[in-house]
Amino acid sequence: MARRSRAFAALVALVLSTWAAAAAACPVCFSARNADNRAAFVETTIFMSALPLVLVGAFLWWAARRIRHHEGRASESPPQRGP
Amino acid sequence: MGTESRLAISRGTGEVVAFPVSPRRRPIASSGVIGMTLFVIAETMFFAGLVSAFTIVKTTALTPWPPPNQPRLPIESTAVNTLALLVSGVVLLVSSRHFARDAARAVRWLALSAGLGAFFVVFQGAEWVALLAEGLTMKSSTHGAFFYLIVGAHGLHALAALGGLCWALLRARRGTLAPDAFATVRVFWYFVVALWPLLYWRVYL
Repeated sequence: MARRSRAFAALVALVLSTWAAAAAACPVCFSARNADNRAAFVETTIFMSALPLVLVGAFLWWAARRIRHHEGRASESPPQRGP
Repeated sequence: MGTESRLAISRGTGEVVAFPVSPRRRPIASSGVIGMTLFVIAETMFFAGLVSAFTIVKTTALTPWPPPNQPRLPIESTAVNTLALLVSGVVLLVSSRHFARDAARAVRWLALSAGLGAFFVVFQGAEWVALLAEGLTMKSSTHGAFFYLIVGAHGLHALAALGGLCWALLRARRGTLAPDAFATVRVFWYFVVALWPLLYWRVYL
């Protein structure tokens, strides 16, 4: 029953996706009109391509720094022994 | 750090055997902070998309930007508001420094930060009312549509983050604010503060 519901939902989503005029809905899908516009296309493409890498890279750098910090603290403290 | 070991009974032979286990790792940050950081990353991409679309549309305009028949954005007064928001972020940083040592002082700084945040949100609201009265609406031009979309999206984030700050303030006054919860709220507020100057630069200037 659940599988049939999922298949029906997927079918509805597929039909809806063919209904929408996806290309016409994009506000920036047109040719560049002048030098400023061309530069804006290039700059925003670079910006949007680099930003996810920068964000994920920054997150990983922060996580690695925190791990090093924690490991440094753990190695400084003496091992806990039971009674 | 020495290797720890645990004892277990072997299924096959029934003997007691010792096997090494790695020491349990402590989390690098609370779940709230990591979750909020991931949310902030997603929201950064959302705003990057809006600003990119705005930049393209702005350079495509056939008339000067902003359009001649549309009201000018209040650059100078919003600069003052921007300053208030930046100071709010710095004050929150000071509050977090005091939080572990002197809770009463941290509450005072936190209240100041929330007050400055509230000032920013109220000022933005007053600015919108004035611009609407002058004729800048979502439908009056592409300029108006992008202005309300980008600044409005930031305003909603500011409002939500301000709610978080007020919640933290109430908890801190009662002495029940957990450090992890405070850190989570701070991440959101720092995002709102850090994002605004970029939006001001792209939309207002």
